[in-house]
Amino acid sequence: MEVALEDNNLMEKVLPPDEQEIDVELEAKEKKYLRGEGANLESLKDKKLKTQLASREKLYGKSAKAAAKIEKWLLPASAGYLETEGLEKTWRIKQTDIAKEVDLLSSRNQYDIVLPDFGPYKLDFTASGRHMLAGGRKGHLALVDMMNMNLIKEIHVRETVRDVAFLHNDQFFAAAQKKYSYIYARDGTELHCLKERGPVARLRFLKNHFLLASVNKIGQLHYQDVTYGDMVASIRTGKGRTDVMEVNPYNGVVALGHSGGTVTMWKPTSQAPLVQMQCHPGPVSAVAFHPNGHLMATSGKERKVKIWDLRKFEEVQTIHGFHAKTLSFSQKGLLAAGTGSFVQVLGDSSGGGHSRYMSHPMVKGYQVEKVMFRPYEDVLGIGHSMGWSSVLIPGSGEPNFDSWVANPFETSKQRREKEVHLLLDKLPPETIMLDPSKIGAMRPSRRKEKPTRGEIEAEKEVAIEAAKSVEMKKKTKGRNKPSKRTKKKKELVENAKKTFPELEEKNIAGKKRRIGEDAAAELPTSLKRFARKN
Amino acid sequence: MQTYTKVFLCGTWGQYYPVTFCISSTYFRFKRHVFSSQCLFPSRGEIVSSWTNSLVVIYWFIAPVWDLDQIFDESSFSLIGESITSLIVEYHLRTNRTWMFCVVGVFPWLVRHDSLLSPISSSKESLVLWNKRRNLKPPWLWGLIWTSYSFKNLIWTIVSSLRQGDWVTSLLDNRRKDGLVMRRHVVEDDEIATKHVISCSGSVWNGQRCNRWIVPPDLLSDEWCWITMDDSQTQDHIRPRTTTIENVSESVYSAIELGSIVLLFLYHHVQLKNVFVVCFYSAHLKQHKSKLHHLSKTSQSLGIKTISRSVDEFTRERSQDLQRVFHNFDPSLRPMEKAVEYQRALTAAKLEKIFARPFVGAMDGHRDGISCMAKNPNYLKGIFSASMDGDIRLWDIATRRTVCQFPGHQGAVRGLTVSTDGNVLVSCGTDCNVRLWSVPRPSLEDSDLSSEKSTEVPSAVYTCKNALLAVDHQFEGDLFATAGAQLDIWNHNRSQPVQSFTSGSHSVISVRFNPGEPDILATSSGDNHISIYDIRMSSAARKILMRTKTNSIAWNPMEPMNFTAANEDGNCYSFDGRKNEEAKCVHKDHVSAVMDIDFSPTGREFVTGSYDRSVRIFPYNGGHSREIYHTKRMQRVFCVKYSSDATYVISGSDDTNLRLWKAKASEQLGVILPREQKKHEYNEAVKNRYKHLPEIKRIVRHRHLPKPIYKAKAESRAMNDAKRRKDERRKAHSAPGTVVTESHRTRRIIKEVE
Repeated sequence: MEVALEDNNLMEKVLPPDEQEIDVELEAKEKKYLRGEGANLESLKDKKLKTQLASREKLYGKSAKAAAKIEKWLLPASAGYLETEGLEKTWRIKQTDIAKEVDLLSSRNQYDIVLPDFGPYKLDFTASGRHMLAGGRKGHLALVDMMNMNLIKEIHVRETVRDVAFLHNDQFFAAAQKKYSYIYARDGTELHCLKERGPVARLRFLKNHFLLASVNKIGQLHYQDVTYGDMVASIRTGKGRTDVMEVNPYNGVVALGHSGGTVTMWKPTSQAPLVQMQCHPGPVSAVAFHPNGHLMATSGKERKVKIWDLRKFEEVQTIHGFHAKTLSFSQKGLLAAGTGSFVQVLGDSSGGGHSRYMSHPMVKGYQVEKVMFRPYEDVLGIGHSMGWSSVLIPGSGEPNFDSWVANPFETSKQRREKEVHLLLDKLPPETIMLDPSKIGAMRPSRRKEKPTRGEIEAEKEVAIEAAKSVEMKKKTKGRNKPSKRTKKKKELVENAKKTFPELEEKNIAGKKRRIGEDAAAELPTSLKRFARKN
Repeated sequence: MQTYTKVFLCGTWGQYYPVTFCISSTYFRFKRHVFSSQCLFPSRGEIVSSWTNSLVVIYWFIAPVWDLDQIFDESSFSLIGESITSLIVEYHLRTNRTWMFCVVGVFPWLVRHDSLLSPISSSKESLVLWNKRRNLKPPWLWGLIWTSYSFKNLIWTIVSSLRQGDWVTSLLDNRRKDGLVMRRHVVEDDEIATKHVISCSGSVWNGQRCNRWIVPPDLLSDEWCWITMDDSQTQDHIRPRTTTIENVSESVYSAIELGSIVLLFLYHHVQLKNVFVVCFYSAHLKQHKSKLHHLSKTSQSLGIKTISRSVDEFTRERSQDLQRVFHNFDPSLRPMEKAVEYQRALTAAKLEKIFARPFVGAMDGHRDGISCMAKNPNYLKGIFSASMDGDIRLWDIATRRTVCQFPGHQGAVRGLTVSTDGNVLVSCGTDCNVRLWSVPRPSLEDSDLSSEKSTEVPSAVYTCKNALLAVDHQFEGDLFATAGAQLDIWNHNRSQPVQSFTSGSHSVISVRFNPGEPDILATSSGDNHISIYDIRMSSAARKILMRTKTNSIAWNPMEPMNFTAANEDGNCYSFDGRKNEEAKCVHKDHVSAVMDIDFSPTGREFVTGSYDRSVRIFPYNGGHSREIYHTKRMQRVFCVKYSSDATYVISGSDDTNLRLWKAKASEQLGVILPREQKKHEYNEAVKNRYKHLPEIKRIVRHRHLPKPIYKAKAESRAMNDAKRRKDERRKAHSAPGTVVTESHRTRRIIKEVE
């Protein structure tokens, strides 16, 4: 036995390579849960605060570690994937091939619903992906339970339906119709007629804020609080009519795409746009946001799809060759684009930008109106002119749902409870801002650290010296006169001085106050007689 | 967190030992009828778990007993049951639920040929394991199984280490007398693969749930078999990706050589799906050894997995079950979480204000102002109070009624204290008497006590020369001290003081024994002194001279070197008893003299009662009060006490009433469900996180003050500001260093006398 014991001890000392790998993996996961860097405690002078914050940071670290471990070990399901061997390409795999390989439950998610009379169809899913709302252009509204493919309610409003949107759960939905938009209950009863907004082109619901945002035909953006019906904001965008509107789920900012190629971002508390980006030379046809809020995809009519980094407002990638009528990001970051009768899914598998992942050609003549990934499922919903379809896109959805965030298996009791909690946690419209992590943080002091006068002067000296010591190029005959050279040099020095305008101005202002007569010289002639004479 | 996994392992072994294991998080049991008929004796159940990224290892050991007369033992049921639960616990904690590795070892041969023989001893490691089965730390390296059993002269040990690439299994046995023989075999990972022989789920096995595995009864009669099963949560489609059988480990063969049967349950994750592998090795496997090697692997070309959730997996089975809850802590699922959290903090702060109802009730009965109170250290519900007319009462806090009345003193009672054992009540008053009362025992039927107001007679009366102003009992001793013209130390049994201390012409106002050192006490006297005495010495050990009188002193029960003095100037001063030249903290908020002070038993807070008709609660290290309690009817507060469970505060005031307050104004009293408790904790945490933000700070800090206090505060603030301004100006206009601003902590202290 002793031999064995020794052996055991020996084995304890060696850390298996397997374990090291796990450590590395866990560390990477931890980073996600730490939500950014910890506070810099070194600069703190208050010892008590320092220890308090240090212990809190430690707690954050611990909880991040626990969460990472939970993610590693305890999550019940793993993400879907599509792997090919050898020369096979993922985008060559057809839905029929997939159908053969997947289990029955998944293959049930491949279908086409052909409704040729009332299309094209717009789609919307609830946050849990359990329910789908389809709105046909010619007035057909259908609410479907996706779990058991049950048609809950189907109504015909007998007028144009431009867009549909679920409110906070499957109990209510809004439809933008010919003249007004309406809110319906799950059983198809009309609850409200929203007359204030005019003929609405696009409707979006901001979940955390309970705001129903809409843009109407004359380019006005409206925010209405659905809890008490107040119009929170009505903004004239002044960019003309548009039907490209999307909400950034990360911060609740609404983006509009305009015919001039600009994308503007709005919040309800200001009349001016937060951001105005010139994304395309021609009209913007679609906008979509990555769920983490850092990526935006836009499509222009000039057959380009661009992906933008919203932290720097910089273009990350341009995909040439097609324009998308509709774009949609999945929870795992796949980008679906619908053009004509063709749906393409782009994926960022290698980290080097989005590239082809899967494609799905519809029957010729079908016009794709809207693509939307079903949350928590590997399913892409496609609304088109002949009804709607659903295809499998492995690896698009988040495999593990959180019962308290969005539960596809929610019971009615849980739903009611959830509704109350949602209302309790309802955010005021002021919380919509570009960087929502600023909420609850300290505002940095307004006062900038101004360099002292001496420092500015020293800097100026250096700049002037540098300007003086610039070697002049030898120019051709006639242009190399000493007078011209000195003039040029003087100019350089002047320019160097000009970069420190504050100092100059201050000097002048000081002089002015002392002398007082220059002020008279600057007055308009009609007022000169009132200037003080001395 | 609960994951609801059901693993049904049903093994039928020949004709004789049907063994059924049901492992489930909701319930577990051995099918009783099976056991009772076959009389299996599960002697050892071992759970050996490994923390590798892929496997939990369960070692299950069963020795059958052939004696048919033996009745199955209940304790072994529970033993097994417990081990199963612990299996589930570990299973939850450590692994992704799709990973499991299970070894089942059965040793019939030993039983058959060496008569009835169960393992005599198992090695130390497994014993440790058994004892610490709820301990979460595995006592060995991750990925290593170490089990050993001895049968008479045989030690059977399997050392298996599971790593990515290899699976090393060693067998030690001392069957031969020449010592231990170790055999080691390395198996490549892909060698441990599966063979899809029978699908035991769903479609094949009459619509059972696929996570229920049933081993066909003819399996073991076939001598060996491999089964793979699918756990992809779908009933209908089982497509194992690889189909291979290789030799798993030599240990198995060695075990076979011994004549034993080893059942191996492997839960192996292959690329496509989770496949459950059950490997049966029987004793007669030898001749089939070669067969094992022949099976080769095949694989399919396309690797696809999609999310598919069967409703059964995610919903409860029966309406009595709890709803299943799944968590995913990914921040990207919760956009704007910080804003939401801030909103919750705001709501929590508002709710706290709404639920702030601190006043529980008043206890009236005295006919004059309450002068002093005493807690019964031995009985939570009892509190003694005494009034200016000489009446002493014992109250029951729960019913808020007088339980017992003591005839008391001729004049005002000024001091009241209870011995640490809670048997003797000592009172003193202006009639120069010290009276000792025996405290009535609290009976089980409280209603009896409260209905009949019993009156007691003093067990002893001691008289001294001067009026007495305070009394306090020693902790864990039978001495008590009275304060009057002098400080007297008394014994319960003597009519004369044991010891007396005199200092100056002024009387001693208050006295308090140190809770840590029984011989040390602190007093305050009319000549503005705070003195610390050691009763083993003849004079005061230390004295602090302050500008104003100290009305009462309380020692911090958790840090017994620190005490807090309630001063006439409306402030409380916390001192370190060892370092008296400056106060550790000045607690300001009262606008009039602080009359009494009492520490919470937690030592983190203290309560003060003041002449300004309010009661305040201060943190022990905070400059300002956290709470103010007042009512329109409450007059000058003369005495306050913190209840011994730190949940209530009792104040006695001039209006002849005792008042009962909650220590935390918005605390929910009564039984709190765990979920409520969690919610309260969460609210507290978010409030604490955002407490520095102006909106929340304002709500949390705001207290309504009665008009006189509000005005007095404003006035004193104006005065203080003016004074500070004046001092600043004086300082600015005098030569540097001539005017020294004294800190608040030393301003009111004149000097410290050794």
